[in-house]
Amino acid sequence: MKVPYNWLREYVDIPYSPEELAHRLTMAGIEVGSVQVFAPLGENFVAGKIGALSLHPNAQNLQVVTVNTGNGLLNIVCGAWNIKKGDMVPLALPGAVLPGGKEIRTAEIKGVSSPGMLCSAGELGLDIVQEEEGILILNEGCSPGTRLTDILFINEPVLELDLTPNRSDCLGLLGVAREVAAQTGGKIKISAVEVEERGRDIRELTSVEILDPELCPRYTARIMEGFKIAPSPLNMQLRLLSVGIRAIYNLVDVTNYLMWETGFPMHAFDYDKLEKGRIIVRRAHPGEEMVTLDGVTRTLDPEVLVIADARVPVGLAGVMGGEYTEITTATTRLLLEAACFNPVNIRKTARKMNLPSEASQRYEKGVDPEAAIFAQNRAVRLIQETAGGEICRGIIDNYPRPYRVPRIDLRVKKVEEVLGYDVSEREITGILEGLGLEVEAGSPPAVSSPRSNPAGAIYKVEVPSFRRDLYEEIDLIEEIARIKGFEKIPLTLPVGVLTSGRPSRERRVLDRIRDVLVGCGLQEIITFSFMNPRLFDELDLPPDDFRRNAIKLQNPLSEEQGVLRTTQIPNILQVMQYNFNRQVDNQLIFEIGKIFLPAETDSKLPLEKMLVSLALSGKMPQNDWQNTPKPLDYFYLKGILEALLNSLGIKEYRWEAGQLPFLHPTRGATLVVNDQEAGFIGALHPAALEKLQFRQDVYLAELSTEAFLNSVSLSPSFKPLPRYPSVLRDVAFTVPEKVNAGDIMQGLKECGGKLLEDIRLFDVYKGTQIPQGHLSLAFALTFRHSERTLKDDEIDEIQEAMEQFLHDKYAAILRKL
Amino acid sequence: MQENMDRLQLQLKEDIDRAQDFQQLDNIRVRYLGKKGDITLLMRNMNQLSPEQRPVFGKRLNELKNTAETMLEQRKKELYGELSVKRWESERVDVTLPGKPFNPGRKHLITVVLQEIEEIFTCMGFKIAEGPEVELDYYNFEALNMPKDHPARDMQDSFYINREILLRTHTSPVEVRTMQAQAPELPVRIISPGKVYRRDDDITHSPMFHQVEGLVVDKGITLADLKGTLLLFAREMFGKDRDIRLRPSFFPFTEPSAEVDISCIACDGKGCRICGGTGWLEILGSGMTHPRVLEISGYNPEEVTGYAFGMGVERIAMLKYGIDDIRLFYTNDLRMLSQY
Ligand SMILES: [Zn+2]
Repeated sequence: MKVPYNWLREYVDIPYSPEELAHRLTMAGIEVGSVQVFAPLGENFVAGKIGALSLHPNAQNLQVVTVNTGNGLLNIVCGAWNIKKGDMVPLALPGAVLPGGKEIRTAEIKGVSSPGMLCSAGELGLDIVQEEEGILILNEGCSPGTRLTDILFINEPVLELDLTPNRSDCLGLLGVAREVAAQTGGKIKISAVEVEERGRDIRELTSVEILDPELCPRYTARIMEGFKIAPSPLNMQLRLLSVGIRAIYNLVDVTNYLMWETGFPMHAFDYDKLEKGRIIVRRAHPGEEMVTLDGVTRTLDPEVLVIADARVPVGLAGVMGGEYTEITTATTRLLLEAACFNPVNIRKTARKMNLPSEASQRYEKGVDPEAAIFAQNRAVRLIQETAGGEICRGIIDNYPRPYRVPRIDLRVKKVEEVLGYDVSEREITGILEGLGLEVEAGSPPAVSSPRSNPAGAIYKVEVPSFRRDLYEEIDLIEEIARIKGFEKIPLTLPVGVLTSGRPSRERRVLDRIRDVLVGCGLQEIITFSFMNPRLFDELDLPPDDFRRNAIKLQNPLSEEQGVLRTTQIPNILQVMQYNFNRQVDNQLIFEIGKIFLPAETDSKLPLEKMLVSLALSGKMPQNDWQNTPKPLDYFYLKGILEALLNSLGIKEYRWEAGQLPFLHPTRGATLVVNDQEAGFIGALHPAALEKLQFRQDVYLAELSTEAFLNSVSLSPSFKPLPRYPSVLRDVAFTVPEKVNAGDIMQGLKECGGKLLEDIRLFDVYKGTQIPQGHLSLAFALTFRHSERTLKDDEIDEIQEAMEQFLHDKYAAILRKL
Repeated sequence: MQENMDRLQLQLKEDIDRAQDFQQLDNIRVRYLGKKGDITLLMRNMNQLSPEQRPVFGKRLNELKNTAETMLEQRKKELYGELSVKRWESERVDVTLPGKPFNPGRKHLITVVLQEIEEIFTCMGFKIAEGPEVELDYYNFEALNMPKDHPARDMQDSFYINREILLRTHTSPVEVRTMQAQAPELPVRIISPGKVYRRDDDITHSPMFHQVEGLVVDKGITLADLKGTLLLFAREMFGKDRDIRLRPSFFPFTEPSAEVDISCIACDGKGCRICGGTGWLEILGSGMTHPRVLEISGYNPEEVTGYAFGMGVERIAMLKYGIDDIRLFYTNDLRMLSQY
């Protein structure tokens, strides 16, 4: 909402500068986003009176004009022909700077010196409507030499309000003026309007019928005739322009002017085009059509409220008028509408038709029903002043749902209870009355219960129709705090019993995971919870994979954000792609976030699961002048996961080879924790690498925290330190290539039993020293007994059992080292 | 014998003087003082001497041994001096060569800021409450005093899954859920951090962003308590010189409602480009929990009051770290993320 400072001053005295007003309004909850000057114009522009006109001696298309500047006469060369003797026109004297930046100097034009320039509206930066093109003609009322800024409504500071939805009363300047008055204790300067009616009685000409009073609680109409349609006076046009409305002609301009003043939108119909001169407010019939002012044919339905004549719709109520009944230069009689409509219905229609307008915006928030007659009378008076004409006798006022003044009980004690400081009773009544509310001392509570009725005075407060946002006690308490000023609120802290703010176990687990991964050198990323469903195809996800069953957004911003993610991998790969394209070749990243899986029924909320996803690509960080960098690989990633599981105290887990989504068919594994699938790890499928145009391998893992949360031990119990020495043995086995190292280790573990403290695989060898199709696995085994020193032959025995077992099960042969 | 010893001493001195490094010196020690060393053997042979000779000889032998040890020690010190110069030279490292690269990862900047906010409030005794990111319209709007068709819903353009289910537009639904689960027990003292979603995408709006909302419900909670809490937060988060100011505003779920500004961190309130010349930066919205919200959540607004506040984590991060485009947080440019 734009509020021109000087326009506002017509309704209330303002003892503040525009900037100070902006600050005060802001601090009272009417946020002023900016203060900008409309049509700024510098010095050296004055009104000049045209005297003699003569042709330019050397140019046919120019004339030389004698202009009275109030300070003498000047001969000015001019190319426009719409001026005549006696006209008052804008004169830019040497030194004046046009809004476009051009500076006026005394110029020699074809041999004639011209100490200045007569200006058109366009040259002054004013987009207005004139009867004739050319030099701007000013009112004759002013005297020559007056500065233009003193005559025209320009150089106007305009406050831009960022209104909260509850303050629709400030969508009219009068509402803003009331707010100013509440702060200054001033009075509103405008009062009831006197209208001189003449001619026929309106009841002979029209009737208004409201078929749906819920959607139209009030409809008023007046009729005028005999006016002259023409451009509005210059300053009215400038006023409208300063709030962003381009003038059209007087009748329309007046309704816009009134809307800005009162916040009440109005509409004028060409009375003679109304079938039987009648107005019927009704819902549209199914399939009914109407051409709106913008020339578009619209198909209506019964959800849409229309203004109809006896036959067809002539306007979309509160949204846009119809083309057929539009005021034209041929119009001789008009019917002026000032009505109230149901805000929700207007909002729906404006949305559906995609027709947001200044009017519909006001109707959507609700207009003051009690302001209708005032607006009507202001409007017809203004029309008369600008276009002449006569006002028919009487006014039609169909008001089936009159406004009921709410009476609110306000407990003084409650004010203090909410705000935390004392406000005196005098202050309370002063503030509320300043806002235009009626305050009356009420009787003390009949039944005084200390809880429901805090002791202290109770006021009965009546709220006028222009503040329909106030309807209960808390609303009034807010008004008191607001006008008194939030800066007066003291600073205290809540008191009460202590509460623990310690994070839950799940949060601490997630924090631990994050810390471990960061410690392992991974960078955390955060991607959107949406994803592009097309990526499932790009990544060749099998058609029956559960991840494809992603929840669709009804109204996504784009297809790329079309569904809720069911895995974090696609988004992570996009991040990798983005960074590869920026020469970041080494990427070690992870994300901790939720995925969303459909519930069994649509009415239930989706399942939300927390995932931890990792991705690596590029070189190992051990990349320095002592080491040649090695590429990151599956085992680097697996090592990180093992470190993670270890620091979460998870001991029971295994890796199972298998063909997995997104992954290389023979380079992927499922992580199984406590016999429950917890996620996957592996190399990105080469086909996907190619599609994404990645030039290096990518390793991925995705774990579901749900699967292992219960196995996590954040504070494991103390294990006594060993008191007896350990015995170390290195063993190596030749095994057929197909055998998994994990199985061999499992076998060793089983044979080793309690005495085998640790197994470390320290070499994998394939080559000339062992048979083809085989490889050698070398292990460092640590044995220990907790209560005594182990003897060699005990260990020999275990080692023989290992040898036997692995030989029988996997055809493994112990190598002599 | 005596003669023997004199010769030995001479020999010893000669040998020691000739030793050029520790190894040679050590060999000499072994040769004279080792298990089978010359001096050791002499000592061992003492029992062959007559009882009269023994004390004299023994004394001399002990002297010889002590002398040998002293000379060895002496020479060792000399050698140390001579050798170390060479050795240190040969063992020199270029201390300016780069160290082994350890690239610790980093948390996402949003996580860093989120955790800082959480820490400030949990230390004040606020419990962290969480809830679903995909939410029922009821919790996201209706229970927060925004019935269907309420114009305030326009303030938060939402992503819908169907008529009743949407991506939460704020973390306030968690507050309602928490209150409903806890009522009528007091106090409620929670923050609800998390992801929220709105249909907006420009330099200051991201379709997904993070919020931290806070709620306190108890007997006797006032607007003054809210102001005190927020001042404490602002100073913990932005430094002890910060001031705050509350501006009246409107939220459907609080009344009175206030926007909260901190004195500009760039200009200390003098006015600059960052604060648009006002000297103030808006950081959060807040207010007294609307009586109707308390009622819907199972508390009697005649008996208890509450305050609530909510802030955008990205906004806080942008102010604190001087970032001017919210979309940078979700581009995940590793060159940017690794700065924090
Ligand atoms: Zn500043």
